[in-house]
Amino acid sequence: MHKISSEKFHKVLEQIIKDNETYGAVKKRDEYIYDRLETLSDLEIENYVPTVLPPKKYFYPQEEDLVQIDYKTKKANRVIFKKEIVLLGVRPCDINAISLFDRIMSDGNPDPNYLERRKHITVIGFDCVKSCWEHALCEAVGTINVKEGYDLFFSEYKKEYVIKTGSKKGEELFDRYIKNSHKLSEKERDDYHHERAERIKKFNHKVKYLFQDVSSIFEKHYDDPYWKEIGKICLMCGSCVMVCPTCYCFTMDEEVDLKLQTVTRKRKWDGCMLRDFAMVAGNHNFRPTAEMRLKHRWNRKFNYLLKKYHMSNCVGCGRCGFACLVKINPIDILNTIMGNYYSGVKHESEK
Amino acid sequence: MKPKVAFFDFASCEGCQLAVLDLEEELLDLVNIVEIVNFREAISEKGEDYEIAFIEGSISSEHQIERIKKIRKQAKLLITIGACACTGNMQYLSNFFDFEEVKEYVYGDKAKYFDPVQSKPIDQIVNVDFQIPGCPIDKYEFLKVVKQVIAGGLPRIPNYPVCSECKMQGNECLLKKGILCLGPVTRAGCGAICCKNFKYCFGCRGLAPEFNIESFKDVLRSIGYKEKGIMAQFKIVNGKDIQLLQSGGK
Amino acid sequence: MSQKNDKDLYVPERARIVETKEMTDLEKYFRIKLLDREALGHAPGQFVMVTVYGVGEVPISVSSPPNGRSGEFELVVRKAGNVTQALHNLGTESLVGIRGPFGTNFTSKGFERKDILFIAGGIGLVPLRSFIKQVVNENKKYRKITILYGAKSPDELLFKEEMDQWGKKENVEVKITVDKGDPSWKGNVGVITTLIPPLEIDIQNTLVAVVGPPVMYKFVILSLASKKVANKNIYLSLERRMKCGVGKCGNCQIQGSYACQDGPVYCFADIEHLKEAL
Repeated sequence: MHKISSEKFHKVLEQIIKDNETYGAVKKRDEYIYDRLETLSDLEIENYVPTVLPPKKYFYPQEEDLVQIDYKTKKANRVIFKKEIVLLGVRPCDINAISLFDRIMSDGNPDPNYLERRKHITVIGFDCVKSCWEHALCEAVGTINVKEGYDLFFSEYKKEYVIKTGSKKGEELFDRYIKNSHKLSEKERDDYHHERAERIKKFNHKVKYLFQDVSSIFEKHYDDPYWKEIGKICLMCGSCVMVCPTCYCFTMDEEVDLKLQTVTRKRKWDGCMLRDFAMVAGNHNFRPTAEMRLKHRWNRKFNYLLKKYHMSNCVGCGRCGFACLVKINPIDILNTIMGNYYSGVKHESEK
Repeated sequence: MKPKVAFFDFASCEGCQLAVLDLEEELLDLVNIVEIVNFREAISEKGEDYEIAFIEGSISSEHQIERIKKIRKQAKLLITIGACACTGNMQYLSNFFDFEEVKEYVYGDKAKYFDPVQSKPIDQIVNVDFQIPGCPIDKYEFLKVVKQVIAGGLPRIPNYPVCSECKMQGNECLLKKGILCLGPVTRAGCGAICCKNFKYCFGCRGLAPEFNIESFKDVLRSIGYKEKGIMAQFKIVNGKDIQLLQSGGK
Repeated sequence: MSQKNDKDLYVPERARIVETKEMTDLEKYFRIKLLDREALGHAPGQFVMVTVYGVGEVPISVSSPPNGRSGEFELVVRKAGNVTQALHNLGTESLVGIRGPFGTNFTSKGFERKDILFIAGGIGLVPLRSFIKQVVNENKKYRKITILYGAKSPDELLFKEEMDQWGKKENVEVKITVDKGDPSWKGNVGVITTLIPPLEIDIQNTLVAVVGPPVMYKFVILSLASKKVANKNIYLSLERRMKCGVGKCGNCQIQGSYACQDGPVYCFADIEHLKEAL
């Protein structure tokens, strides 16, 4: 662990933006989006609140060409996407989401299109010094801390910046951009961790129960009445899915070009909150109601995938809670269902 | 064999056909894969041996009823393009008034010289195989549908609401700012182009196949809109579906 | 599994349609040969993703038993949507794309010299046929083989001649029923579950393989339960909308289980607690 002065920090960032195609949080009108950075002044550092879309769109685009097929011979080839970009100022919640994506896409049948694109993306993270907005629950789900998914990570400490490297690429960046840094002594390091922990204590803390038992509680309260309650008001508009940094469900479609030479197979974002998602031939829908879809979506986050990947699949950014017009959000979901469990509310199957 | 294609218009502004012609760069490639035999906006030929008919506009006279029936007989595939043909668009509002009054309002004492009928979308007169909605249509969506059909598939457009697409674009939510926007109940496919340009969605692509109207009305009420204003907004393009909804038909 | 190369996860292999047959108004039979590979290498109950180029991809169960004619396999496709309809319009010599085979499979392992009971409803016969043929072709290895098959009406019955052939083997019994008969129909009338109560099932030594539409499973499971068949001896194939086939896209998920990887063939004992399954 090393640290640099605030002045140097800004110089380093300026140089990174100059040398690379760099993207970061930029204010649009009232909200922030990830967009191309021309200079450091484009980037929001102090008053960051989660962007409309997470940086997911760079390594897992809304619509992506997967395969190209010659329409005459039907010979098919994977589309290889190579473009070096840097994501600057990615926050711990989104870094955890990237790390989760990396795990999911390398697990089982590794996804070659994702992994290829991902190789060319550099992630430079910023720590959060204060709670960003009331929708966040990172401190509850344990995503305020980062272990992997980043190359470089900057954390403010006594008006200076502590730097962590998270990969070989990060070490190379460190060597290239950060000369003459001060190595933290053991005492400084302890103090840094202590101060950071104190800082996090001042965060939201809106989730009232211990998160570690969540999957077994969700399992036991599979038919909790709360699902019906929020199912009634859910608009099934899909906003929560689209703004989610960890939702990765997709659909595929293909299109021939107008010259009838090439068929392109595309991957597009899809979501379990949408009508066609669980529909099979003959229009039978395995999840026809909003209630069933909400139950599925949140069980994925807090139960099915949590068990499979050993980390919360909700990274607590709060984007869905902010986007939802009827205010369905993970904080209320956790508090209600865990609350019902602890207060012994009988769920339907027990009645 | 290139399929033979025809374009026909009824009561409309013809803007959807203009959207097709606006495909400047793709137009030459398009006529390489289809043969356009009838397209009043673009060519003088009037071929009657088409297989695919694209219909713009709604039905507003007895004469038009006869004409669309004839087209239906000929076309293997009849696709309506644009809100007028698909939902009835704003001319459908005449259905909410006494028709005699409407006639008199429009034609005065000359009403007897015309044969108007209450404005109807095409699918209330003949069977429609597919609808490309929008006011006007999205020219790229039109192109996509043509390519889907040429490849041997069924046309397919999104079945989810505009909100999904709006979020994919990374737009700021207008409803969150207190602006009445029909995104949550309107079919996507437009790329949320209005919201992207800070204009609310007025539902020109028709209602999505699935929506929660009661909850949505609650949302609108919570930002200060009254039932009457909400319904008026709905009726602009979706009068037909609102009638159905109110009679419990959808 | 025989996914040939990680790097080509979403890339279809070329295959040629070598024979087609109209089976009913809705079902069409295809015999398909891979162009660039010897054999599909599937097991009974597995599925492939079939591409109609420029139209899309759809999961279809392989209907032929393993080790069919070299490099060839059979599909039966019901006309139901975009891709299947386009597939119906394709004739011999047309090229289609194939990915797979994917998923879990039926196996008779451990049931040699024992009984096997097949229960097929409607087009559920299509995936089950792969397993039935594998077992019936080696009928001597088993004690008693029973095939129950139900369809809505006589003209929706598939592979009728094959059924007759199977029934002629000494230890194979075929029972067919239709929900609604017609004047020429002389066989059983009634839903498939009406065939179950009269059966004599040696519950310790019978493997049951069930495939049918979603609504059928609940009733068949109930009937089997009343016969005291153990859930661990019941195998079934669940239909879901697979899009990627490789456990990524999420479309086929049944709670925590991916039907394309952990299924489509499940042991009932493993999924009876999953409320989304049946």
